[in-house]
Amino acid sequence: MSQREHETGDPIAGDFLENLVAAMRRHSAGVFEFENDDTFLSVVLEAESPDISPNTRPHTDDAPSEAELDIVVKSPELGLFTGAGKSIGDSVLRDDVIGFVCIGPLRLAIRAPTDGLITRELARDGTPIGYQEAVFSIRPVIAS
Amino acid sequence: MPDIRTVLIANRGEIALRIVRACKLLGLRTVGVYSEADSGLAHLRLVDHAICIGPAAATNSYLDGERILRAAALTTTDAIHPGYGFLSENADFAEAVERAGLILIGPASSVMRLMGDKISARRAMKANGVPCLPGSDAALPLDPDEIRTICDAIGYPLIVKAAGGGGGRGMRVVMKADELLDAVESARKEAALAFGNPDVYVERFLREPRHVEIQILADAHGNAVWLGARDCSVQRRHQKLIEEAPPPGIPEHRISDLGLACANAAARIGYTGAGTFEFLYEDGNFNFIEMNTRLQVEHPVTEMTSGVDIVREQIMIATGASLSFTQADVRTNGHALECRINAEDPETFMPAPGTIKKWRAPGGPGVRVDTHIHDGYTIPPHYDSLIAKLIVHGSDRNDAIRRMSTALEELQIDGVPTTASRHKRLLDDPDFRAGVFTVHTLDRRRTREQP
Repeated sequence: MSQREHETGDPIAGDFLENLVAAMRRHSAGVFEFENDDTFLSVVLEAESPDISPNTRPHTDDAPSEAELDIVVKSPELGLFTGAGKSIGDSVLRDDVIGFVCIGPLRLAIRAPTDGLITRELARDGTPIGYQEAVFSIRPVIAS
Repeated sequence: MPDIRTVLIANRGEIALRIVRACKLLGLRTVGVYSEADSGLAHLRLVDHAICIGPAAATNSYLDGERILRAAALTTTDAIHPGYGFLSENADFAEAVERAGLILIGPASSVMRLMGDKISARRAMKANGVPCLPGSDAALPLDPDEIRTICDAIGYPLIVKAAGGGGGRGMRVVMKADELLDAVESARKEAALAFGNPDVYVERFLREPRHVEIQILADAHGNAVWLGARDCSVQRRHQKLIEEAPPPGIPEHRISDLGLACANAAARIGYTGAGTFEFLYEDGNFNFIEMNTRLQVEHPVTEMTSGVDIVREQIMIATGASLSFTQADVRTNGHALECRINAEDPETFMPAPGTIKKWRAPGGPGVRVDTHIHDGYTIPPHYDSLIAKLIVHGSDRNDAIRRMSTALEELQIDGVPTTASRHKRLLDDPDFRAGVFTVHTLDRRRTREQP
């Protein structure tokens, strides 16, 4: 887990963060944000940790968990991220536009690399996004 | 007065960490930028906002001014600290920062351009009473006869240098007149390739000079001070290895005359921020070679002897503040040494990137370590090999050498070869102990040692 941005005048009390992460895991939420007059808190559960993915289940050496099959979609450039109306649980087709990265007047489309379901939103609409920073994770649809 | 709330650190490694610490001291918000190869850098844990700006290659990340400015715009940055290397002396970048309405923590782009061109810098220094070597006061002409006339008047041996250069590139030593034209031609070609500017000039070549430099600070209100001199003569292939303050064996009054001349020149050319005037010292004479219009790697030795936090002062000056002290307040004491710990083969100085398996820093009174490394840190192959600066302060030079030797014994870096073992030998070297190392000593010895 990473606390990507934390600007607050008040320290986070006691076990607040621990409970928050547990709740996010329970509800398959990849991102939590809170903002009021003087506080902005953003908590992102990163893609690299298989145990924080939704639908986590025990797995064996020869059978990857569903979370491990997730494909992390990264921003192709440094810019301002804007969403394209996609959120967790939405199904997407390969090459669907799932967001944009804006560089001045340019708007680069971020496209789904595969057919699948969006499992995590890792970037907040209207915020800076780094080069190759994770934006979404998508669980591919596996043909039966 | 410019209002600075957020500083973007356009650099990496130990200096990025050093700058973040200074910003925090001043209560400033910080933005760290990094390349794809650098997501594990230590300073990124301390900044308020970290953002990846591009791939590992420096040309597409730390050297890409457009990306740095884009990151600054995205993160509502007010000021950019360029550190050293990368874009820190790039006048075009400084101008772009100004055009973007941001503050570069350093001099104005016009002053950076003046001092970046070695010919105009030399002219400006001569005009302001800073001692320079006999040489040409303009770029060499194209006509071979005119070149010969100019160079014969200066006398041999001489050195051909690139106007836009530095770091040894575009330089040729000419021992005799019949070598001149070939040297000028090849230096021009190298200069055009390296700096996009084929202009070259000539100066008298010194055979056994020491490298002595003066650290200055200047504000935007015409105040300038010098904080002491450093000796950086222990070099290999124009890259410094050991720096110390003050330079051993040079009378104090000579250094203070030079320091005063540098501070006055800085004020007269409208310089602002931290800067360094570099000189070659031979036969009791100082000869200006160039000005570094940025923070130096070796600034800590001056901080140790003067007690001035140079990075903090740099930032304060960028806010428009006047210097908080005058020359009369500057007091230096004791002796400081810095050893550059590079991830390199200690004999060949070939870079040796890899993973640090174990890192144990030395400590004790008068010992300072500026580094970004930690256990498990992987040194990427894309950037320079400096991984730590070991700095000591003692009551005098012998005390400082003893403290450095002890600190080097205590230092432990497993996983990659480093220059630490070379430093131990250098500290015991009779010529180093006697303070008579010249900028050529180490390279000459290495040439002799090669089969």
